[in-house]
Amino acid sequence: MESAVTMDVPGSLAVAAPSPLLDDFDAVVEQHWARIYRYACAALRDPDEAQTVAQDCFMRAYRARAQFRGESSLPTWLIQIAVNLVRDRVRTRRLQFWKAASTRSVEVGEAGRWLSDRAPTPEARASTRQQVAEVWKTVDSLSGRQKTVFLLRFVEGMDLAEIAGATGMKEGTVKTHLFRALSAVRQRVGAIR
Amino acid sequence: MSEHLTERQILEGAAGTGTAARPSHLEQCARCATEVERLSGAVRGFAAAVHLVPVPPAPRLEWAEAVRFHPVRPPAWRLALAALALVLVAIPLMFRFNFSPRNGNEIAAIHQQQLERSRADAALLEQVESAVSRPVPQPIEPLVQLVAWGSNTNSGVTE
Repeated sequence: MESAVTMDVPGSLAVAAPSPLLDDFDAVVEQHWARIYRYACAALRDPDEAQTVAQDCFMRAYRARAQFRGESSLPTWLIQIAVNLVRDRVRTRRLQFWKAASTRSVEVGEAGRWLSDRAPTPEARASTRQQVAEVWKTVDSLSGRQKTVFLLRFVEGMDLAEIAGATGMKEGTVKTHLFRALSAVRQRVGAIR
Repeated sequence: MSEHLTERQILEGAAGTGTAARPSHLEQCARCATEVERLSGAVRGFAAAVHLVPVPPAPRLEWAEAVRFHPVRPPAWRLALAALALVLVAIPLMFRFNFSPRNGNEIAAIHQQQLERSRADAALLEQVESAVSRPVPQPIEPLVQLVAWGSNTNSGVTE
């Protein structure tokens, strides 16, 4: 009997798929593309690089599809690949310090503006916009691991065990990084009170 | 009412990883509830903003083909690390095999040796030149003169 693997996509119904679930690879890409791209974009802040990372992620997944045994869920496995690719990109970026930063960097402040449009009063809009900008700045200043854990917890909605699985860290270490990241955010948000 | 939440408990509250004792305190303590809500609200706002970043459509690729024409390359930082490791190995080896930079006297001596060698080469070349420029080798020269002396008689016979 083929082993079943559960794809627990947050916000959607769990889908049971057979172990060679990567057979219909186009469907896998379609289903998980946004999530991988979003993570890469939040971590790298460069839409072009995020797109390359997302594409590389699925290429690696395609190459390694025979090795996928369903020990973790498919989204966690894909995120794990993306986390490694992002880490490689960040390290390479550090070496290429002479290279100018991309002109197409993502401004979540921009997204914060769309978000703040939903706020009821001008004051609330301004406050939301400022808060988003401050959190964004703080996240950018976090260490690589803290940033990864923070994004996986709050943007991707993964629990500590899933984050541990995706990053290869122990659950206690994940918790420590998460609290350090949150503490930094708290300090920044507290400062704009 | 119990004491206010600690920094750690507030962070746990915002991260959603808190203990069971915390919610009861939050129901009673407006100050702690505001602290937790301020932090979790800021984080929620950030997450919502990230979700609003436009996502390009998923690529429609022939994955098997794409993978074939897109070989796995090690990331640049690994190549740089390998180059650095190579340099770190090469430098001690250079000293080990005495490839150390030489001082002025040593360099002058090497130049002198090269000069002498080139002089010797030039002298040898001159000798070779003079030997090659003879029409016949030196030991045969007397015979050539002999043939030249009796050349008329010989010519008479042949004629």
